[in-house]
Amino acid sequence: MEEIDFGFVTALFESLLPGDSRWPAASATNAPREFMKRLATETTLAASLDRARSVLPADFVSLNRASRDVALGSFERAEPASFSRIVTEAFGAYYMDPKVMSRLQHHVGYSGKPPQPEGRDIPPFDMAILPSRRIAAKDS
Amino acid sequence: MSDASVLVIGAGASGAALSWRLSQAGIKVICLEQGEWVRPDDIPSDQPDWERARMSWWSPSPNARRLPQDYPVIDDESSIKPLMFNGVGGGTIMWSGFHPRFHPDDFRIRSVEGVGDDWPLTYDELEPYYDLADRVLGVSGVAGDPSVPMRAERPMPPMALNRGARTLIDAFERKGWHWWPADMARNSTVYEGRAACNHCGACEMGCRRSAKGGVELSFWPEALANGTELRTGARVFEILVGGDGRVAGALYIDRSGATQRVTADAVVLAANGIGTPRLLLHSRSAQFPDGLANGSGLVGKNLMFHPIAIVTGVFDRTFDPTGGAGVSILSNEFYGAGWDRDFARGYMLAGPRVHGPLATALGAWGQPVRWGAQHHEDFDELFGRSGSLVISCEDLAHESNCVTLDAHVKDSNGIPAPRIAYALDDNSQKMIRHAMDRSNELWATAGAARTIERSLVAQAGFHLMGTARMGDDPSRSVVDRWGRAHDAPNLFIIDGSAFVTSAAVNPTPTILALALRTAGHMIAARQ
Repeated sequence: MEEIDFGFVTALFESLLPGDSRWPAASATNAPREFMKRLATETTLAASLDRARSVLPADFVSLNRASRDVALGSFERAEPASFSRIVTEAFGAYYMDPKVMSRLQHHVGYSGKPPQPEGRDIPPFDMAILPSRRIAAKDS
Repeated sequence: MSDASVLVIGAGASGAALSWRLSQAGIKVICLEQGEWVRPDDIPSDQPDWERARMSWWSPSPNARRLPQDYPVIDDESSIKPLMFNGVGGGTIMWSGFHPRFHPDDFRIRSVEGVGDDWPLTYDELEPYYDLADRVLGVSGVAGDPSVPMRAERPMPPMALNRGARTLIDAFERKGWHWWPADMARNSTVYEGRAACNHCGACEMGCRRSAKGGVELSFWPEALANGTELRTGARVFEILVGGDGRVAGALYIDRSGATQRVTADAVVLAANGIGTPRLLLHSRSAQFPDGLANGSGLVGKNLMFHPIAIVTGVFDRTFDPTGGAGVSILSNEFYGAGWDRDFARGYMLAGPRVHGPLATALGAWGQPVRWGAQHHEDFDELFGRSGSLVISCEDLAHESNCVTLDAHVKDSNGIPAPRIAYALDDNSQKMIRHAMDRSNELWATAGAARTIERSLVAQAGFHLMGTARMGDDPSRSVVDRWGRAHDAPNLFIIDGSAFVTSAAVNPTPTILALALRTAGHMIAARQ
């Protein structure tokens, strides 16, 4: 059953987050496996995936990309809450993957690391930029 | 003899400040908190899935987080969803540290503009307590802002500006609009032995460096050293009332599920603008059949949030690549009364917020990025190349916006859940339109290629106010000018519930000041 789900999830990811010349396809990252891990603990996610399996064509996995996209669009319109739940998790799994973080470093110089422990290097506040119109400080 | 002189319910901002002050005077305080301590290592801002955590098990929404100490909040009839944190530190665990004070006119909007009600106190009366809270908490900033009353130098210099802020400042200058570096309860330098901020931008997850001035790091350690007893995992479900109409203590459920009783000479409610009316409404008795301290019928009514809108500027160049930063400057250009407008009161602009990759993809401050073949192109246009102006609107009080007890849904201890009814009024909608138009102007001046408007951010209901309002008239308010309940002379309410108006700024500095002022009054009354 798990392998069947994994094949289905991978097919979903290929349509939701396909690759291009700059970005890895979600199906080529660890995102589908990460998604599967979440199914075990997130009951609303599991229910949403069940809805997707019920609503999408039985042969969804073997459809070509264009046909899958059409089917997913219909699912999105018919059951927006379930669709949104799946997309949120798919994006969540994708935007923590090391391959994706590496791509972000090249994109705009994002560190690709969690906020801590390194933080960000920002110069101290420059008092010279304060507006000229000021009032005096009160004696404390 | 009572177990304590004062029983405090809730260990967030107001409960911490009041306990701290009372403990300095040698008063025996017991504080009951349904949540637990948060250790810096508990905060997931160092994990690869930090953004996902922020949207699920470490969310500011109790309905998303669903930790054992949380209670469900029924919010399907509210256009703004309440946010809170249940634990030692309360909302200051998950706040940004943004620390603006109310303006003097915020306390007298009836007199100034003919709307709402005036508070029974003034800014000047609160000012010494604002100053005291700033020193204990640790606030970074710079005095001299011409849009607010003269004040003492801040304990630390202003926070460093995130990269996008310079772009925004240039635009404010060119428009001739007010701006000023925001007061922040974050350490721009080492302060009281706590580390300086390293600008990670994840303040709203809690601070692993203890560089943010949460009350769990500032007020609580000294309060505990002075002898205050803080019991965590203690969920209060009823305030006890004696035969004389005075409150006598509280019943709570402890971590093991057993019911416990604490007696006290006075009870102080500090459980936030939803938790406090919930508890009052649940504390029914023969003497108080409609809920404790509810002779006016106003407990739970007049709920105020700050309607939050955002306008995101999208640039065709890098704006800020840090992938996460809170606001660092504010503008009071449109704050308070403005006679040339078609709405009452005003709003604050603050910015720029920049977002991490997942928040960008999910459209946390605008439209979600499309899925499918267009996704990466759309994402590339936004990530690192956009920033948001946050619009915080003053909310006027309406009795129809309220907290009640749900008839069916209960928390894990069988206590009825609060149900929220809240709708934006016409005044707020006009104010938001005005603010978004001004924000679009500002972004255009800054050189943005386009903007994205979001006229209301639903998941932004951090500021919970007005549900046990303060006033001199017992028929039109729940507590007096000291936070003392009109109907029960030894019951005090010191959280945002007591607010009469919302102003357009974050309430925590004012909550702290009110709590410290009430504590001073309680001390004086014993002498």
